[in-house]
Amino acid sequence: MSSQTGVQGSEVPRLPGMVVRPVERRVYEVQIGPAHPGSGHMRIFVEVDGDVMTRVDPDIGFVHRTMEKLAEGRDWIKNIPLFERMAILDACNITLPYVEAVERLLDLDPPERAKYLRVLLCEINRIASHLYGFGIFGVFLGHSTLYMWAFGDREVFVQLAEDLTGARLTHSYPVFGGVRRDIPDDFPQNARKATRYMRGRLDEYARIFLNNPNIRSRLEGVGVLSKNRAAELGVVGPNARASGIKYDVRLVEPYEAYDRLDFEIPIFEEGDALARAWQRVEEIKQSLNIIEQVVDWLEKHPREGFMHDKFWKTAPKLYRDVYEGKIDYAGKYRVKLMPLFATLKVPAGKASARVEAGRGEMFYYVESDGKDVPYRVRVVSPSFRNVIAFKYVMPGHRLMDLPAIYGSFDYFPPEWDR
Amino acid sequence: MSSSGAPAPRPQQPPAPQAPKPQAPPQQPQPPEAWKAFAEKLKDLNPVYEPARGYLDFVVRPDQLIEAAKRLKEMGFDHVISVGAVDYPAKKQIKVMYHVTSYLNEELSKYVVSLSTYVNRDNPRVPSLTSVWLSAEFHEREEYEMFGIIFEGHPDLRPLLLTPVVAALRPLRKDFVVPEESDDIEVDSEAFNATKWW
Amino acid sequence: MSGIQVLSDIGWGILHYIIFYPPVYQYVIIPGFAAALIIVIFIIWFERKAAARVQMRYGPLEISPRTGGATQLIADLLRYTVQEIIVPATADFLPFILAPNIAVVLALLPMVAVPMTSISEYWPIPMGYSLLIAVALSTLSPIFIVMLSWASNNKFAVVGGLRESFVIVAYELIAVISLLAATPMTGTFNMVTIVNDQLSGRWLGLLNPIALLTAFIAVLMSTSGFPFEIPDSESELVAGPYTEYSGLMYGLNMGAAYIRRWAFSVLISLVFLGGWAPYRPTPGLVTGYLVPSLIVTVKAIIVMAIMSFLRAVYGRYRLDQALSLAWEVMIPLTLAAFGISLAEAYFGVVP
Repeated sequence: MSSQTGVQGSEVPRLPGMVVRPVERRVYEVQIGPAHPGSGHMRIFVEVDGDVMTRVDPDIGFVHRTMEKLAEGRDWIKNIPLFERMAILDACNITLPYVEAVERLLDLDPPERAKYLRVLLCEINRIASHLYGFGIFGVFLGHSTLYMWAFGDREVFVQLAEDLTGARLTHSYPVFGGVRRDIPDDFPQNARKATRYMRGRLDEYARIFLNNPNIRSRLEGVGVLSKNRAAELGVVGPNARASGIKYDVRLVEPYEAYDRLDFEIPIFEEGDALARAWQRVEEIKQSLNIIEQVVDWLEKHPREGFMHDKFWKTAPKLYRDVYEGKIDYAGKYRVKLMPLFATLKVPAGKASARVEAGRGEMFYYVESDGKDVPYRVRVVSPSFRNVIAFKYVMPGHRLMDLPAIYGSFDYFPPEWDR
Repeated sequence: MSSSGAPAPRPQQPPAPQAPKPQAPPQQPQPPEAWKAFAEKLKDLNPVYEPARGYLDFVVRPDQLIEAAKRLKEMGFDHVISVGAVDYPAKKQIKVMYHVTSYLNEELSKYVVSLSTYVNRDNPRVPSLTSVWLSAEFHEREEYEMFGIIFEGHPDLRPLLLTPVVAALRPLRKDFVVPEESDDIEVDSEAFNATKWW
Repeated sequence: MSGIQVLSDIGWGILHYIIFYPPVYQYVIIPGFAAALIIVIFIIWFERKAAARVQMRYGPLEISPRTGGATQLIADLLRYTVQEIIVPATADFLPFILAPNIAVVLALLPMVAVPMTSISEYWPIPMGYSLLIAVALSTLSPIFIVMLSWASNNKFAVVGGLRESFVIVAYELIAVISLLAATPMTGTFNMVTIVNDQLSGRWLGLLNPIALLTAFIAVLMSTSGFPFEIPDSESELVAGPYTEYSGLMYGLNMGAAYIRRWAFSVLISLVFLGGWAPYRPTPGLVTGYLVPSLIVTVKAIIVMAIMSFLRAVYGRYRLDQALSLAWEVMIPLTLAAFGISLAEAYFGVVP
């Protein structure tokens, strides 16, 4: 169905491939387009009546990298670097459910030390991801100072992750049976310095951003999501917890070492953009607590069992020498990947796993039919589950509230496009 | 390391303690206690148990889907985590799974329940559950474009991530094979020069 | 006559009748184009450097590290000069090209109406009503920004121009009344008298700080200074009204906002901050004209530097919040400032 008329019968020139549809008189359609400094990699069709948005339609898919289809053609271990590109800042949290689901299929339980190491990297990534979210939030509101501070402080944690895994962002750290390598010797004191530094910085953030009257007037009462509405829409992560829903996968279905660690889940009741920003600040504080506890545990306990014995006993002697530091030029504890992974065949079955990533609940469904490639991997990332908030939360607000709501929901387009 | 026989205990079990099951016949794995408790509510819909780790799977018929969804919602499962589909070309069926859990009910938050159904591969039509769970809207759009499943009653069924041209090829089905490109770059200098206008 | 005397006569002629001829001097040199461009270059560099120091980074450092990147802006200007100016085919050509130029020309027009010294032979126009004339001329330029956004024929530009038009209507009244709050206290529109009265040490900014504050905020609103950087808010509308401009026109637009800020800063420093006080100009070219104008320039730079520093502290206001701030808070405050002026004049608290 194509029509030649625009508004109230006016003639519109027809070009090949053009689709014309009539629009009401009062409505003005703005496309916050794909190449826009304030939209990430997505397009938002906004229909504006004066200054108030009446209909918001997210047009996503610009960064779709067909990860679910690609995963069906790659070996089990090769899917870990594939999936972590979904949200590379949060790499451990994104690949952890995949590793857990496959471990359920393999009937493997990783050793204690591996669990604590995974928790360590998960929390470091959670802090880095929240700080990235703050930075983008600051840019959207025009507050460049928060942007620079957040990214500068994120550097501290990216450095920690580099000490731990060898790569700043592309960690690929959790593997089936454990983790890739163990912590270096000077890691605990660096981690403690980092947590002390960050605690002081969070007060500065509160002063310049969250308690800044300019920013407060922009955020208070904007994008309010009530508890029932949030449950109905299925939003995840800090967005749900800022609306009063007491749900965190680390509490309801504890995975790795979380049931042995002592932390709280902050809950806010208001559900507006300011509550979501405060929620992230409080979560960073809790993550700092967790990192300190984990580093204490790792220091006290002997260094054995970063990898399940089923895989470690197939490693050649050179790996053990490197692990114990007997080879000079290779760093201590820096082993390479176990050779058994290359030919791993996972027994047939279906498994699912969920994990609390930085932006919310990450869910994987893995099905195997006994071969060395998966049969089907279904990935649902937290940002994908938050996309629905564009359609149902934004209408009724003013056009200039769109960046405020967008930034407060902490969207990450590559994550939802997979 | 095969998984036939008694289902092995899975890690992070919900409160029902999982002792190793008595030896049931290998083709019929016994559902766990939690599954039986939920199946009580869905009794007249005859859900079928399929063994799975990490979630509880209920298989119903496509026409019973909305009724089963309403019962689950009354029980307290109030949002959808994922809507997924798996293509079984050998059986000529597509399995559509709705993984749901609960936000507001704290005992039910521990469980991930999957409400699944099998549809015919050549004409897959499933009633849309957006009337029951609003959170399924965007997931169903994605499975529509990837597999070609028509969700009847969906308010806004159009491709979400793909362009309509690619979505018509139904990419995630098993018969959609991405042709491999060779490593050699073939140079086509006539075509290149033909498009130059300066 | 020897050659040297001829040359010195010609030099004297050039100096007195061309360079230091007041209308030319004030429109072209100080506080006109030359000063404006140099100050704009310096202020943008200062803004980037100061914001960078707050934000834990260096700021421009690449071009000339030893001077702290001070020539970065000259490099940017060179870049804009050689970049291609692309005029979209769908844009209205004549307004598209002319509007930014007219806006810049009119932005500096108030500068011919202000005195830079108290010696009468260096006044460009008769100074009887100079405050009124200067304030009236300063309201001419904003309409051309709306014109250039409409000529761009681009949705983002139109929305940006709309926002700019709302903001213009809001701040005009505040700026005009705040600047005219000097009149009751000194009893005249003559800016030379206003500055000469402040030679006694009691600046109008000290006697009526509310008027200074509202004038400052009005200038921020008019020239897209944070927290009112609404028309060209980069994260929602790509560059607001200036979206379709490239090359030298882009540089001109970005500089135009700063040039207007400079013009207003000169007005503020003459009216509220004492002008060339505490220096008393004596007849003569250098001491009578050059030095007082440099003092006024330094004061205006200080005002602009404070405005630039706010970039590191504030985010952006939403449009309706800025407008409600202007109409609901600032206008009563401005009227109160005017009332304070009247009261102070009545009770004799005058400079």
